[in-house]
Amino acid sequence: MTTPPAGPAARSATPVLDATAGVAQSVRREMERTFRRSVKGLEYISTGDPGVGLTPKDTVHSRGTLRLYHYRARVDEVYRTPILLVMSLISKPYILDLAPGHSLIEFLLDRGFDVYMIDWGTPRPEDSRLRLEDYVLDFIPECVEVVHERSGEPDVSIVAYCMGGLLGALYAALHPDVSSGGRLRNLACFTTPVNYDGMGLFRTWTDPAHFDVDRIVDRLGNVPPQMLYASFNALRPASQVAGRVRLWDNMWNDEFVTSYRRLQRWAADQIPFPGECFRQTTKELQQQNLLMKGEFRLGGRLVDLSNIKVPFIHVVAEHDHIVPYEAARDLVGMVGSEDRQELVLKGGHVSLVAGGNAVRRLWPRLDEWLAERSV
Amino acid sequence: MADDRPPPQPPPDPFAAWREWVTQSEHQMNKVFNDMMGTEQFARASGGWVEAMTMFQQTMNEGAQRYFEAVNLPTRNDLSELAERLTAVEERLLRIEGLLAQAIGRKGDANPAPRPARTRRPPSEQKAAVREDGPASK
Repeated sequence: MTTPPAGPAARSATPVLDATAGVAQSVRREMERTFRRSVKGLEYISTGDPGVGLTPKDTVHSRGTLRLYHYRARVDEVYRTPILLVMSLISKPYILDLAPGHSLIEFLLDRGFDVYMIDWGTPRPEDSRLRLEDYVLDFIPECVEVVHERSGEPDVSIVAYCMGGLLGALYAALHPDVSSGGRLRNLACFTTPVNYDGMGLFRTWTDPAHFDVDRIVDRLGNVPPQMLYASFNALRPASQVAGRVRLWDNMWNDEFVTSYRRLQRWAADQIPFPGECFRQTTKELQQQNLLMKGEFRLGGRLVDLSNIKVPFIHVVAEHDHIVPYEAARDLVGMVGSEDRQELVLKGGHVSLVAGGNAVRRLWPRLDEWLAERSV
Repeated sequence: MADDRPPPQPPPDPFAAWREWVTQSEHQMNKVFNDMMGTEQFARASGGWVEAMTMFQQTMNEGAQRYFEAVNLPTRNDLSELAERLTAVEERLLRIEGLLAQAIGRKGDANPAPRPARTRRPPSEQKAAVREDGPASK
C-alpha cells in the first residue's frame, strides 16, 4: 500500500502546524525556565558572592598597601623567565583570577609559567600623595628586584592590563638599560591607552573648561570609588538595565549566574584613585595628551616609548568602550622593538581578559607568544 | 535527483525575538545617551554636579572633623597619621628582617618548598625535536 501524495491543502497546512508546534515548544520551555528562575532567584538573593582570587599564592613582598604575590607552581617544569603581572590602579586584580577554570593566572601556571603579581591594594588617605613616579620609578623596579632575587633569573616578562599597561610601558621606557638585555625580557600590554584624544566621552567630561581636577583632589584627597564607578557605568547607561534583564532571563542557568555575579562583583569593587596620581593623569595625559606628543616627563625624565626594545605585544579589544581602539592603537607604533605586534581580538574591555571569550581568544594567544620568548 | 526544496526553517521563537529586541534596544539607548553625554552642555552640567558633590563632601568631612575634635575623639586625619607611622615602622621592620636574612645567609622559609625546574621548552621546539628524532628512531 502506498501513501497517497499530499495535496496542495496538506502541503500548505504542514508549515503552519510546524510553526504552531515550535511556538508551543518555546512557550513550554519558558514556563519551565520561569519556574526554575523563581527557585534560583531565591538562591541568588540568599547566597553571598562567590569566592574570587583563590589560586594559592604567597606574599613575597609588602610595602604600604602593595603586595607582591608569587603563585604556587602547578607543574614540575616551568619556563625560565618569570612573569610579573602589573595591574591597574583603579580596580582589583582578581579579574585575572576569578575562579578555578576562569582564571588567567591558573591558566598560565598550568601552561608552565612562573607567575608573580603586583596588587596595589586599596589606597589609604595618606596615599593621596602618590604620583606615577612612585609607581614607575620606585614600586615596580623594587618588585622586579624581588622577582629577580626570588627566581634567581636575570630577567622578567611584564604582562599588564589597562592602566597597568601604561605603568608597564612607562617603566620599560624609563629603564632602557634594562630593556636592552637586562631585567625586562618581554612586555605584553592589554588595552593600554596612549592617545587620550581617542578616549571618547572621558575626554569630553574632563575638558578643563568644565572639570576642575585641582578642586576635586584638594577637597577629597583620593578620588572616591563611587565617582569612578559612576563614570564607567555612564559610558553605557542602558547596559545596566539590559544586564539585569539578561540575568533574570538566565536565572535558571547556574553557570551564567555565577559568572555574572563574579564579574558584577569585580565591576562594583572599585577602589579609590590616589589623588595626586589622578591629578597628574587627568592634566598631563587626559587633558594635554603629553605622552602622545612626546612631552611627558616622569621624575624630570622625558618618557620616550621608542626606548622600549624588548619583544612587545599589545592586545586590544574590538568593542572596548572604556579604552577605545582610537586611544590604544598608536602604542605599537611608538615602541622601538623590532619584535612587536598588535593583536585585535573580539570582545570588550573586560571580556578580553576574563570569561569565556578570553578563555577561547586571548589566553591561548598569550601563552603561545610568551612561550616562544620565555626560555 | 537534486532536492530543490528550501531548507527547513527553525520554528519561530517569540522569546528569541524578545531577546534580540532587548539587545537592539540596549545598543540604541546607549547610542542616544552617548550622543547626549558627548555634548558640551552635558559636560558643563556634569562638571557642575561634580563641583557640588565635592563641595558637599568637603563640608561633611570638615563638619565631622570639628565634631570629633569637640567630643575629644580621634579624627580621620589623626588615624591617617597614625597609620602612616605604623606603615613606616612596618617597612623598617621588613627591611631589618631582610638584612637579617641576608646576614645569616638564607632567604624566605627555613624549609622552602621544592622549586620546579626552569627548563621548559615551548611546544614548537618540542615538536621540532620530535621531528628530528623521528627518522633516527626508525
